[in-house]
Amino acid sequence: MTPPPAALFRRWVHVREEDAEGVRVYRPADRPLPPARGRDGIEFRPDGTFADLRPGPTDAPVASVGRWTAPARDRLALAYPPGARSAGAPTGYEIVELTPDLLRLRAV
Amino acid sequence: MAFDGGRLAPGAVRDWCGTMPVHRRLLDSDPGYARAREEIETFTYDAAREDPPPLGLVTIPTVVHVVWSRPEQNVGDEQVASQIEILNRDFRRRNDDVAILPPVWAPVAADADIEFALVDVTRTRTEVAAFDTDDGVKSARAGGADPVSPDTHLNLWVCQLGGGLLGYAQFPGGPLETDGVVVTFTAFGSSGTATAPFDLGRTSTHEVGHWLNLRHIWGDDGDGCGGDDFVADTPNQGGPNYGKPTYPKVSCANGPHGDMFVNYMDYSDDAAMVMFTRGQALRMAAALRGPRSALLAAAATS
Ligand SMILES: [Zn+2]
Repeated sequence: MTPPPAALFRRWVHVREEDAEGVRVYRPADRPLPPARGRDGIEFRPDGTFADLRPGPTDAPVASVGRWTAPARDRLALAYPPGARSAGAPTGYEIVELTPDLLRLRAV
Repeated sequence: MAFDGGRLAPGAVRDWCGTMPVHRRLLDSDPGYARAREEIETFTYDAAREDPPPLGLVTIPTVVHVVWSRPEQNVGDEQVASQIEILNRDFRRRNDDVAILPPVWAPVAADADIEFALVDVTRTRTEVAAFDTDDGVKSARAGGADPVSPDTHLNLWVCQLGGGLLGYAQFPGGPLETDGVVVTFTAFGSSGTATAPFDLGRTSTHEVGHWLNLRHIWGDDGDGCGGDDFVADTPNQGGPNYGKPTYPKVSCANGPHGDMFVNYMDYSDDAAMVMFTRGQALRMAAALRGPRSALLAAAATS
């Protein structure tokens, strides 16, 4: 298994208004972002876990922690904890683009 | 019908020696908090069945805390006043834009009979560039401002929130020292730094709705149809709506009228959310009778 690029390991916020053609656009959570109601996000950690972040019942993001594996350097397979995967949440991604400022993921 | 507390013991979830981001996770998994929330739901359910006489107008003393690191975040008194005025219109169904309602929902759009009286504005300069949802903005020790008498006042913090977040709230039953709502400075009020499409003050209306125990209208179950907001006169709805949806927008077999995306407790743009329902107003009244009864007592003696 080839590990994914180190730039992946941080907290990303989904900027859904930039999504196009099945590709989700994420920006680093610690940079200025256009505000929006209900942004989701994802945090990848080098220890093999990821946090799926969704707006909670009082709007603060709530994390469910699952495990990621990398079947290829540009592929991620996600395993959610029991009951935590919301309907339609992808179980795999292709990393389309990854820079310090931008992450583009296509659900596979 | 009595409400016996349901308040988390002070310090039960706060460990100032530990790291701040742990706080939210502890709160969400704390059995004391879960028990408090359960008691509040039981009280609210019983209150709805007993159908008590209306409370009449309740005025909530409100303290606004402006916490800023860049000068533009130090929003002016006029902008603060614009937010209080919006809250007073929205909670009294005196907002002019209630006219955009599809006729089917006009009869359930409610005057919640709640008003807000600004009693103080605090201003705090901070080194924190952007606040997280770890409640740092609510603590002077973490670079924010401590709440003022949160049992008898609404505390509303205005600051730069990180992660593109517009605001967040705390339900009744949480720790007193973090009680209140937080709104990012570009979604506060309707003048100054308020920026479209969140420039009509509805983020505060939404967050204060949570603070008075309202749930999201889609039931907080992702996009599913099994979630409930514990309010009878809001339609069952799949997931949140964004932007400015067009009527009717059907989900979860809720036709012909579809989702009530005009409700303050959806995720629509400010210009698209214009109403609370009667059921939501009753739920807020139950919060005032029960877990937030200290507000009523204070209002009665002021
Ligand atoms: Zn909300």
